[in-house]
Amino acid sequence: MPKDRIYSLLESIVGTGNVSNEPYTLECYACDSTTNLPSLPNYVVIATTVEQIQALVRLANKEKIPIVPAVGMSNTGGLAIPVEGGISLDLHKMDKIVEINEDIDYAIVEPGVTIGQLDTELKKRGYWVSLPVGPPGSAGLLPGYILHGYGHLGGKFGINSEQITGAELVLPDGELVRLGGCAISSYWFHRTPIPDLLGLILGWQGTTGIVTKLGINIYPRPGFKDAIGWGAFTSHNEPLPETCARFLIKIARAEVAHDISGHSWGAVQIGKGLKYPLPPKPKEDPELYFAATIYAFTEEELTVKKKILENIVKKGIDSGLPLAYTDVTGRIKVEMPTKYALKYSDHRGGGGLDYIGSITPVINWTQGIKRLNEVFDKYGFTPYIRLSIYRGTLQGMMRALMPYNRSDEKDIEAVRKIARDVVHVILDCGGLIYKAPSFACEEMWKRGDPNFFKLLKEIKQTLDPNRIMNPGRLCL
Amino acid sequence: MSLEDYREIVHLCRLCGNCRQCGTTYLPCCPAGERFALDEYYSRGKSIIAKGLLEGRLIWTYSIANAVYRCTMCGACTEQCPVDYKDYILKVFGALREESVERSLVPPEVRNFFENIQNFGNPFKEPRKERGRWADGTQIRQYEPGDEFLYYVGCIGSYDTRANKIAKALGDIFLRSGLSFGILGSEETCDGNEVNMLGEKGLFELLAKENIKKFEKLGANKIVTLSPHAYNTIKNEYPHYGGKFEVKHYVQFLKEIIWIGKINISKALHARVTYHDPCFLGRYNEEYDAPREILRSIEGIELVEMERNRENSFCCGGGGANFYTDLFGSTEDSPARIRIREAYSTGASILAVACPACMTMLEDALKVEGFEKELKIMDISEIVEGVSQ
Repeated sequence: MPKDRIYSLLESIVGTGNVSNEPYTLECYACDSTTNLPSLPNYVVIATTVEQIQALVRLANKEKIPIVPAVGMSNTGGLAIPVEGGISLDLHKMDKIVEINEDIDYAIVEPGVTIGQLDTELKKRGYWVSLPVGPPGSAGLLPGYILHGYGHLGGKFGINSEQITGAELVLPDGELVRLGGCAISSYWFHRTPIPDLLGLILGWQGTTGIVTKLGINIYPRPGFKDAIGWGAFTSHNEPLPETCARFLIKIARAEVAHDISGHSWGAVQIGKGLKYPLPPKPKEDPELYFAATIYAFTEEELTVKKKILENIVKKGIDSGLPLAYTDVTGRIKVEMPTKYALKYSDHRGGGGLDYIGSITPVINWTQGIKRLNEVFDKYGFTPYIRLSIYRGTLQGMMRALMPYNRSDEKDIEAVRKIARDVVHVILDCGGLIYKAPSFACEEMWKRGDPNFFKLLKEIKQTLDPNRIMNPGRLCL
Repeated sequence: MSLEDYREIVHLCRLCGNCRQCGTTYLPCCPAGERFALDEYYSRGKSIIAKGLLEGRLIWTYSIANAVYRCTMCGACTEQCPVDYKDYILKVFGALREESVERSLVPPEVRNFFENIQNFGNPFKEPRKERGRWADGTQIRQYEPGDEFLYYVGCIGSYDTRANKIAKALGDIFLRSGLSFGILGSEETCDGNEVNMLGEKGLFELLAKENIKKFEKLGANKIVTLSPHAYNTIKNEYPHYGGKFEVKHYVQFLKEIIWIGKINISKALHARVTYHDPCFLGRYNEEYDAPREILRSIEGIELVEMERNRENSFCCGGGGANFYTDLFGSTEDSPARIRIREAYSTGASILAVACPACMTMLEDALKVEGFEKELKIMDISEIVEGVSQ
């Protein structure tokens, strides 16, 4: 392709070989594994330094060209699809773990650091962090944190964005700013007690700037692991009766487990590698599988924790709830990060995996799961629902996943419809969509406080008057 | 198979990007991706390009072919791919290359490679009659019917000055074993592994059939190769053309003859050694243990692993004929230089290899990185020659 003026300017910033406007390059950055419509960027740029990013953002501002960051190319939700074209900014080469502070227990990472990369380094030092559950280890760590993703230790530490201690941000005008305590202190230990400006990036889907460094809490890594599992032997029409939802709340309130998660029967079968269509669910199988995973630093601690949970489950069973123990040997063996979730996309012949995830009050899962089943049934898809409870609260992740065949237009259309229906179910249940695609944002803003969206727009306008940062996201 | 045959396959790619890192160390696994960084150089990007071509969103250009050939076919991405697509990745790469050949879009370096193989039987434009020159002055002789095995040397071992030494060292070990063997000398021709990897199926078929005919005529049923590339193609591709031979890579054969006492390891070698897995011996043929067992059998050797090893090994950058075409060039991010730095970081004084292409690539990188005083690259045959009787 001929090099135009913008191409030459980009090349002058990042060097030859780090810019492309070849159609085949652009195609690679136009899509993800979801049903979000592909959209081509005009240029793809590889940046390796903060200074380059600043220069690129300044150029984008001057020329009023959109700029959309991407990292590990495992993007979902269409969040890195350049819906209005512009520059796809590939940051995967910025992959340094800047600091691991073992005195104050935090790590600072560049945007290209992957989930597996940080975990490998922390493991050597006897530390860990809450790792995003769905993506592979090769996915970028940073997006899952700043977009309020769920981690495998969410039952203990809460949502991943709560672990963020500070950030370095290139603002839409190219200025560099630190957010959190690191704006004042040389340490990146916490975002308070000063005004918490991290709110300017968390959940903003890259519309307010480009995060070039992120500080997160790290924790000592326990050496012992166990889990207990139980199933809800209910019905497809009433998968999680209110009594069972209240039982989950008891497990959460014990604050013993590092993770409390559930999967629908179909999800478990898909996880085993079964292809569509699944056989009918055997009567002896539960509708929902749950597991509480516990970690401990000593065997004694592990035993006590397990006993606490077993007592709660036993009481639940003894009280007549439709629950029974299930085997969780496999779960105990699984080491994070795992590629397990990626197999789901093979279920209907391959490639595609869409999802709508939410944070929803646990008590409303009763209504939510029932209605999600109805949505899946309506379109002839296997109900694939995943649940996880966050630390210390009685809300958690309720997610509907839709494996689909990327070459089948009927599948794609059905999944798009399912996604829209799921958004309504979640919002009806008082939930909030995370990593929300634009159509989900539209519905949220429509239902919500009009002044909230007004304020969002005003902040965006102040920070990014030329609307260069990932335009089209959040309906901004 | 043509790209069209993969129309219902390419969408199996999950677009997850897991083809970028190895799943144990989370270090980069793709040599092309490390060197060129843009997504089209990873398997994820290539699946998107293939889909785009098949669905008419992209049209074939020289640039696309250029990107398609900037891959060593090392197979690292197939090890990491978590979905059904993993079984098709290299086939799709192959189909993209075949189509590049059919459309006459191959890069000039690749075209030269094909022409040289066709005209000279080797990529270096060296005369065929010089092919056995490396064995002059040795006791190594021409293969004769009835010999216990044929020593197939290959193009690099026959013509490259450094690889000549490896060929001789291995020949010397074979002589010491007392087993009867011979080479084809000027009668030998390219095995075709790289031609196949580069997608010139017609030329590969000619080479395969010519070699099969030659081996059969001589009654050479048992073949030991110097190069893992030749081993791979004779073992896995020649059977498609009717050629069925008992073929071993030399490390497999060496391990056996050491075990049965045909070769006596009589000296110690006090050194810290790290071993680089060649892709066509390791990932393609799952032979990881034989070279390590040989090294461990030598007194004094402390075998240390690089972070990326066995199925997660990092390609030297020489695969897919890049040892000749040099489409990756030499920069700080070129695979061989990355690999040398990794070997150096183990504190080893010897980097052991079992492939003449790896030797060529890594020795060049060693010089550029300036580690020649601290690190020496030796083929396993050279190590064994030095400690055996």
